[in-house]
Amino acid sequence: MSLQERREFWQEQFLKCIKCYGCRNICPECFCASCTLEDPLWVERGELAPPFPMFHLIRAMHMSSRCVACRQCELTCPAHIPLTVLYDLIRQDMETLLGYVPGVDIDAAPPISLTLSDAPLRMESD
Amino acid sequence: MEYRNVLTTCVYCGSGCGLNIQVLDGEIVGILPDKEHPISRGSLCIKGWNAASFVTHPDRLKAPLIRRGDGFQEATWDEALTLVAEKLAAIRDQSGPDSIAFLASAKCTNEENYLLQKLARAVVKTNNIDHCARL
Repeated sequence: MSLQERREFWQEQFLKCIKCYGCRNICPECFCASCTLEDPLWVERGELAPPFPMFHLIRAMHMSSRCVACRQCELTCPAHIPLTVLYDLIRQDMETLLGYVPGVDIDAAPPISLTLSDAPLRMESD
Repeated sequence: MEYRNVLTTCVYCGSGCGLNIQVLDGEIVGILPDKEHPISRGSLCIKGWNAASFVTHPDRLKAPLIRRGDGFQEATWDEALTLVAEKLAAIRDQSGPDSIAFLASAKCTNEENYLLQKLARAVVKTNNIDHCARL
């Protein structure tokens, strides 16, 4: 698939989104106290489908070091967007580029939650 | 700590999606879609995902209100229903049954909506009955 074809494929998929937040709500790996997807700075309010591609790519990015491909998001999606495919593609990049596979080694720290100086990021609730 | 999933039906529209209300020590803490529900099959829209937010909302009316003068006054169900019945009977006697229309609700069950049309047709004797989606 060419880049252009991929872009069109995902554009078509994301256009079906009814922004129910089901993918985030059902996710066993989503636990932040506040969510970027509800921040008007990143995701415009009152837009349906959510403007391409911010909503879905922000979530995909946030899932890159968390998603264990349990498929709950995909199964609950009323629009049948193949979310696991998207997250798995990013998971593969994570593995190739940073050598990290979520859910395999309990002691391995996810690269995305580390700062450049290797100090863990503080959680919002801390 | 006591946790329960309470299986129920979404009250927001006539689709009737199935959902579980997550209850922790008597407090609602979240919603989970019902994967085995024949209609919604584990999916919900944004209203369904928030279908329990009104339960403990401070603006929720907990008693019937009757308009008296410029404001509303809390009343008992007996008072409110008696007033409504009296007014409806008076309007029907004065202007005829077809001066009254009934609007049923998607938030009610089929059985409750059946009873409403029965009230419209058999008691008030009008066929003016419709549902809230055409309000």
